[in-house]
Amino acid sequence: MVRPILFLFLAFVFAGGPAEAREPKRAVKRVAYKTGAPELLPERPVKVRRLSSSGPIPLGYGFDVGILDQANGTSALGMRLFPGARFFLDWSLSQRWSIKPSIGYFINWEGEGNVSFVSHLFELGVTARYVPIVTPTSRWLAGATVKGDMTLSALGAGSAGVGNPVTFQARVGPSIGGSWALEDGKSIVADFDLTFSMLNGVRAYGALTFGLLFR
Amino acid sequence: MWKRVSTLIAFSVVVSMFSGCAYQDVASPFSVNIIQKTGSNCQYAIAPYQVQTLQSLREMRGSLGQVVQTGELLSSDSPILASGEGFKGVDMQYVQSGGTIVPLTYGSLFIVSVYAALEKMHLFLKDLDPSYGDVTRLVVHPEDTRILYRARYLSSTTNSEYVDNASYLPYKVSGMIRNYFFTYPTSQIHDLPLGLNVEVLGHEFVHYYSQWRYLGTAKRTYTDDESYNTMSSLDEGMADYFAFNTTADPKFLLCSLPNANRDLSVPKQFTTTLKTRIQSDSDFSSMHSGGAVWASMQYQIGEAIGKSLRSSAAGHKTNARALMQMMVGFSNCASGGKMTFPSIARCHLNYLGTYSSQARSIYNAMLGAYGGI
Repeated sequence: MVRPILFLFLAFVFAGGPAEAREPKRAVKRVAYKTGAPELLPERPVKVRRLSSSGPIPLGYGFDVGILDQANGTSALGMRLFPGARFFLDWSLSQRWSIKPSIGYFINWEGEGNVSFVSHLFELGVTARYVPIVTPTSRWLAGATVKGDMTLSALGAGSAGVGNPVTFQARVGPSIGGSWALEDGKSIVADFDLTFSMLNGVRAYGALTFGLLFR
Repeated sequence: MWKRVSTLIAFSVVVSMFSGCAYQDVASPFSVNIIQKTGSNCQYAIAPYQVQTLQSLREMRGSLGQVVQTGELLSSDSPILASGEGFKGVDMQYVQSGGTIVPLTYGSLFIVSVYAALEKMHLFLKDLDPSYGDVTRLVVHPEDTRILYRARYLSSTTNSEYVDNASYLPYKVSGMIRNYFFTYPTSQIHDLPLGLNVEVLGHEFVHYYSQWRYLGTAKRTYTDDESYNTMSSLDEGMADYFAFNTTADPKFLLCSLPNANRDLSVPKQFTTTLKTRIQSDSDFSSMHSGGAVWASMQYQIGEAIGKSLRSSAAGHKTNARALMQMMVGFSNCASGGKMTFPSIARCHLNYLGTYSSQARSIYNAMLGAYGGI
């Protein structure tokens, strides 16, 4: 079940997203050639790229790093911490709506003495986001996210070790975030999503990530 | 816009619910993967263990008690211990694979291992003597026993929190006893944590059994220092010896505490100093040393019987059964109104039948400062 989804996602990633998202750059060049307008002026007065509130927004891609927390009543602090990273695309459907597919990897280590328990969580996700607030340099987003997880875990005791069965789960929940423009089409992005799975009862996950978005 | 978002969430919840079908509560009998010993050199394997007395894996509740937790810093006068109420359930994460439960977190592994270790000793004692070894026939409500996961407990003597330990506590309140097992956080141990050491929890279970089988009554009857100290040491020694019997590893404690002088296969004797402490200390704290001597004597006796039976395991089982019978008739083991190691050793011989002469010579050689019997 997961393989076709993964294939489609990777195909989407390598295809570079929808053509319409790339169109604006070519359109600008053609217009400049036909009208004989001068090349771009030598000065570069704009240090901070203003986020347009009109016109198509090009496809973005980027990565972020952060912590995925799994609520667990018997762990320290009531949660299991999974540090990790995500690579994502930011595909604007309109000025207000965007889709953010992502692929991530998170890891958790628990143990005492010579006993260790390591979990590797591979995450495939899609977040649908609405932009309620746009300022010249920032965008605030809210929406919903769906994640599919594949977790591999292994238990070790002294020289003995065993891999546990692979588990799959789906998570869903709200997501909020923001992006702050830097120069050259880059933005700092921050996201927080609170998702729920039902693999072992209703279990909450919180993920707080920070990263860079390129357009 | 919100209608679209809510539609998306609803769709995702449905997807999520399908993924949750794997989570079901499980009742005994079932197999669960835990850390098990493969020999006597602290070698392990992660292998299935058949749990037989758990009614709910999700709640970790069974006929031997329930595994619970609390964030409260406990002490001997904690109201929560007196009432037995206010503990939180543990959070189990597991998956079923090929008919075996697989814990998905370290905590879940630890919790189910603790229960399995206690159960293992329970079943060993019950199998040893169905009439006298079943603790559920001794305790009024064994299912009310609470097994504390990673308890924070303030020691009244050192005024610091217990770590790297496990214990059994018969908590006396209003003329009744509440039974508690404690596992504590691991701090300095670099080897097998005590809570995952099957024999260590088995050792604690023997304290529980002994409390209800003979020690509770005997400690109220024989209150002089020597009797009290002797019985405290005997309790530790019995716990070590029976714990050894469940896995046949005389070095089991060394897998967690490599420097402990608790290898049952190393012969030990009562020194003059230890004997003097047992006889006269009003604040006795060497019960583990006294117990180690008793356990090593029982190990030698079991080995000697095993040679006659051509099976070490059979020899130890025969000896353990005799010791259990001695516990049942423990009030007959006093001499001159006191419980002493020589008087208890003589008592033990009465239950060994044809093997008593072998045991007598071992006692004569190992009672050390006590002299012979």
